[in-house]
Amino acid sequence: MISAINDRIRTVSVAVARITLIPLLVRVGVFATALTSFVLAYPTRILFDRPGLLLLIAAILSAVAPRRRWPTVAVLVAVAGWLLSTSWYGEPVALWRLLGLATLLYLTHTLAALAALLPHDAVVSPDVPTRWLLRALGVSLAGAVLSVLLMSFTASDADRAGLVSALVGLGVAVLVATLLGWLFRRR
Amino acid sequence: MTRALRPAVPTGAADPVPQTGAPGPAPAPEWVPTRALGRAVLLTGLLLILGVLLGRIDLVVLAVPFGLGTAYALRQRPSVAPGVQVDADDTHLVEGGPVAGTVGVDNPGVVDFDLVIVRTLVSPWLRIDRAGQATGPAPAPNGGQATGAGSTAGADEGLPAGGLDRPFVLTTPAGSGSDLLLRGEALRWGRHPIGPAGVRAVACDGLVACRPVVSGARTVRVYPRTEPFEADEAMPRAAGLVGGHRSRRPGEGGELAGVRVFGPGDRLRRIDWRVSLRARQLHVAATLSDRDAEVVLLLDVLAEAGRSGGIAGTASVLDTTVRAAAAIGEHYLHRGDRVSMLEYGPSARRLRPATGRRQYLTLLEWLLDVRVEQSEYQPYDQVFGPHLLSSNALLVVLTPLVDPRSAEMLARLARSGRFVVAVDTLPAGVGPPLRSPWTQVAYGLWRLERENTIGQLRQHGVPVVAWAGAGSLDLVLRDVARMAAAPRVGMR
Repeated sequence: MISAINDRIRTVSVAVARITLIPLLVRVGVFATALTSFVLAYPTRILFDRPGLLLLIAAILSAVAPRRRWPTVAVLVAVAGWLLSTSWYGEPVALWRLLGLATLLYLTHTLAALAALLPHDAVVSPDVPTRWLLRALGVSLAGAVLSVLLMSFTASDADRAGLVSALVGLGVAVLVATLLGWLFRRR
Repeated sequence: MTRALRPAVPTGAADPVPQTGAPGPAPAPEWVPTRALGRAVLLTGLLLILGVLLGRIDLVVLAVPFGLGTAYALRQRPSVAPGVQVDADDTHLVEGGPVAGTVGVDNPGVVDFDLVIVRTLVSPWLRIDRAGQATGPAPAPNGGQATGAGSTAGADEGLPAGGLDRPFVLTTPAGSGSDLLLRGEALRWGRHPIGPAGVRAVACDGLVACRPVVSGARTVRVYPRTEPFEADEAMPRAAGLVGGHRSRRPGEGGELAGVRVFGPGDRLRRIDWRVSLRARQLHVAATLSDRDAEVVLLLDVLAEAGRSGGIAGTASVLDTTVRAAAAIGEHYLHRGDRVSMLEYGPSARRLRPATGRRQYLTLLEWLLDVRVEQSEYQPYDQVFGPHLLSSNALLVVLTPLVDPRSAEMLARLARSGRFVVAVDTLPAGVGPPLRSPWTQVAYGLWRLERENTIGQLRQHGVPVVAWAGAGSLDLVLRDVARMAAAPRVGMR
């Protein structure tokens, strides 16, 4: 038992000693975007209370173990915080806050994907993270534009918002089903 | 040709590593979805379902980047696995010389690889101190431009310092290739592999990744650095018809043997006119014929001792043996003698006697495969059959004199009337690891016993000399030549 713990500590210390700059920066990026998304999603009173510590731990875990389920958990925790903030605490849905949260959640997801693929001790060509970030920012920008259009379309009528949500959800559900079918075929 | 290796990056499931060209009824798909794709699909679906159920457009907005990013990334899916090949500079490479290699990754498909993770193994005797992506134009994937160390020479100015103990992550656009350049130094003689190299490519913003592709290894031949060696003394007995050594037989040659009366068959240009005028009779200058000799280098491969530190470090027994054999062989082949080589070991490899530069190159190639082979039986008869060893040959035995069979072999050779010189290849200062207080005492006793054995060999007419480069064998060769010139009992 003791030897296993010692081996584990030795493995971690070797991994920390060997980590290179770009994989470290990518993991720092995962932590920063996850933590910022929590800040945007949750009410201030929760952030500076005891649950804030749990959020910090969730952000750290998503950066430390991006190959596990922690990035998914971090995004879901942020969404839960958003629902809590806008429903339970009655905070208004500000457009800047919503777009910021959407962008940060997507960045958390895509940076975690990159961190999961990069070996921690790899010598990485600077082109790799640069192109990755540019693509992610392009997607975020296009998503923001689409979201603004969507929000402006539904801003005048609350019923229309529900209808649009249903239609868009239906369309994307079909897309997701198609994607899942492709995934199962690939497996 | 590929063979299995551990994956280039850790994989979640226990996926088998595919072998290119391996027969199989249903080959596994080369590209598989990553966990990020599952996460994107899950989050998109969950947010949309929640948005529909709760009637909230803000949840749909949160789902938009995930859905948009996934759809954009998967608009073109890769279908072809990357190609990987290892190449190395195959020119004449000597210990301490620069070594160059390339790991080439091709993207033959139409979809860019967002990143390619390259891992490669390299022999510890090739110190790769600079490695990095080629800064020059990438070669075409299908024969457009040769991928190799030669084609990328000169493009390594921007290589970062760092060894090959880390994986490298490159980008490879569609229809092109990327080269990982390896530059370093060859530390030790031998055949050293570069590779195998493992490659894993990722595309579609990290949503799909290919299974690891592994290339074969490329062997680099590193020839031993020949230590300077000169032996000015004559060979004990020349054997051939032509060569660089003066023989004891009269004939056409350069060494003056004396002046004698002209006889039938003498060539006119040999007439010594000054002596002829003085003696009033024709005299000719008699010369000794030039003969070549056969040198047999016998390599004792029964035991290894010492730790090899490469060309800049300490030398083991095998290092000294190979480098000394290369130097002695180069010296005698340069003088026009015939040189052959034998291994004193269970495999008893043999290089036939020959002369010239071609033999020198063959000798170097032969030396690359010298290995220590321990054996329990006596390989004497296998090595020294009467058809293998000329009785006139000079035998230079490179031995550490660690195994008692080596001393027995030397004594038998001397008793059979051959001209034997033993070169002691045991490094100075080598000793066993300290295991008890008695280790040093036992080692001292062993050294005394070994000195005693060397003394007995000298008494039997086998000079033993430590290898020290130039002039190592001069003294003992002079003794052997003197012994060869002396009349022998029973010889005609």
